Amino acid sequence: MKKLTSITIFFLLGSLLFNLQTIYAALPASTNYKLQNYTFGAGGTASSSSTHYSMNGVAGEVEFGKSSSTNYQSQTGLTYLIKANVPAAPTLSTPANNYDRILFVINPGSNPSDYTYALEISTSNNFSSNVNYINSDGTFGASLTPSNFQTYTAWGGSSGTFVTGLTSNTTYYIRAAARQGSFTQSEWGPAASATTSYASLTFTINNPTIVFNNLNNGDSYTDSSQSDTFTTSTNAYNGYTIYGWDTQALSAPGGNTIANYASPNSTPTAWSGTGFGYTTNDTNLVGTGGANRFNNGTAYAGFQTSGPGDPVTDDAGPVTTSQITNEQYTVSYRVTANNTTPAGTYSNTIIYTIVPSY
Amino acid sequence: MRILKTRKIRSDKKYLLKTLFVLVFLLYSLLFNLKSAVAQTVPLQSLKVTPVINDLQLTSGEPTTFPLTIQNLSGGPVGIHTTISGYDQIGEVPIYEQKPSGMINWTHLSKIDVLLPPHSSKTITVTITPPQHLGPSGYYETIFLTPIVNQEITPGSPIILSRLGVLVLGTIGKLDYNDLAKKITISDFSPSHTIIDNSPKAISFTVNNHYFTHFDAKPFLTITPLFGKPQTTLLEDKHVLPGSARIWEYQPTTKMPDVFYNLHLAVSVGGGKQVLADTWFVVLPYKLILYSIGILVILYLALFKPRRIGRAIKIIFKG
Repeated sequence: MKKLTSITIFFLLGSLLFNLQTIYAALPASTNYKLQNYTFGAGGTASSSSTHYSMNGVAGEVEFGKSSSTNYQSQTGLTYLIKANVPAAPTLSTPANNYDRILFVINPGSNPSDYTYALEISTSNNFSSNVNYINSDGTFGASLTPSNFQTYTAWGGSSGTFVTGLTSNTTYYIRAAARQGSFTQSEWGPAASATTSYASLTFTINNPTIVFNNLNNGDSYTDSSQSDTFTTSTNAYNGYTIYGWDTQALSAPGGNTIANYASPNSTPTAWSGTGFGYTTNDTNLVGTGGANRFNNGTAYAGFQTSGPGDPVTDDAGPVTTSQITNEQYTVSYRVTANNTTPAGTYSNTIIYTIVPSY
Repeated sequence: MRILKTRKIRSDKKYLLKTLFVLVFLLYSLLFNLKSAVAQTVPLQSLKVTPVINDLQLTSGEPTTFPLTIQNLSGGPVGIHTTISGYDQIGEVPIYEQKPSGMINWTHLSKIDVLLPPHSSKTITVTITPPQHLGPSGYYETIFLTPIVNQEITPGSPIILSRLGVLVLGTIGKLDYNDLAKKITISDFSPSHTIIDNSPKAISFTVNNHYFTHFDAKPFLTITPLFGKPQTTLLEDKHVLPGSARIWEYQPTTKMPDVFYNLHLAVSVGGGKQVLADTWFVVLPYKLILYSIGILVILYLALFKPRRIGRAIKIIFKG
């Protein structure tokens, strides 16, 4: 009885092992996953799916078939079934009238969130020439590598990403392809286009001459009522800087002068003594001495008498999603003489140079 | 009687018309003269210039042209005089004036002086023809547009002139991004390998360009705390001229409560190439720790060794 039982158990175990081996060998499997069961009919497609995985099998059809016309394309076979969905055209824009970059937002369509996308960029609407691929850092290069594929989230999601290093006043076409793992890359989707602008700069000074009041004992030989307002618009990425200097101290025809105020641009001071000086309401000014060194228009400095001068207002950007439009800053002047200053008409020329920052 | 009345009305009408005509003429003359006076002295200055940044690929011995459009947005006429200077950048300080540049001699402007009627625009054609047989190199200049003022009839008070600078960046030779990445270095990446008392107010670094031409540096800074997720920030891109360096100063907006931080910097130079740098720092409030230890020692002595404290005070004050 015991012998029979041992033989039976041994036989059963052997059969089990043999069957398991057979099943394992027969079913498609990878390191992590194994198909437990699948069948094929006499032709067509069989599919089954769970919450996280789906399986497709095709028998009696070609592995891959494709037919297309100018506007439409149809594909058949197993290869087509495992491919990612073709992404729709990305959304392109130049929100700040950008001249060297374009903002793109991928349209993932019905692809799951773990699918990755690559983007092709060209100046040719049919991608026949000058074709490049957008890198993960927003630059572009001539070769398409696995690192060019990123998820929708990594490409900035709904906020998108800028492709940089583009030529101004040029139309670019961008299209996307999707994939999830090897051998699943979709066809390139339809392209969208956007045209880069030129870098432009608009500069207005409201007051081309400043006329100070008569300086006398009644006004303590002081006038600080005059000012110039600068209005600037630009799409330059790093903004702009306005530098100021004057050709000479305030000078009268007889050779008498009122000196430029002694404090330099790097260390403006509350007004004391005599001279001709300026202040600015730019509280985030470039240059040494601190961004709000003019203490919001209450500390004064004197002009240099040679170019390029000192920064009086600026905006360092970066200009990405909206351009600088009609930005205004005011430079106010003050002149203080004393009772020994000879009477006369004093004048000079103040030069403001505006340059886009690069 | 009626005829007389009609004649009187007619002569009144004529008189009124004459007066009106004289008044209109006087008013028009006054306005015209005022306009002329302003135009003769200091012009109203409201200009738009396009394009103000011109990044050009030049070829030795061949002309490259681009149009420069100047638009007068003001209600008065303005004359514009053009001059050219070299352009350079020393650290964060740009140099626009009186800087020599080989490109100045190769640049030809179709007009040096331009007269712009009110609300009008004109285009200058800029042609740059580098000499033949030039090797890979970068050249930089600024075209300045300055309003023309008759100095003899300027008023007896300070006058204001606005100058607009147009940047021209020329590259001869093709960029090789592999080679470019080898010629870019990162220095002064701080805080670096150090223990600091408080979280850093700013993380700074310098990108140095030893390549033959300028490039656009786009830095990605990743801060990884000992416990926590790494956070990558894309900083603003800056152009770095050859032989020059640019400085970035990033002020972290989030709190840094951890002790150890790793900083990873990837500066994208174009073509998918990046220059990398890594550093670390430790945030250890050692001053606070030292103060705390000192207070604890004093408390211990005061509570458990009061005699020693008394003796010490006596020795200090009585000797």
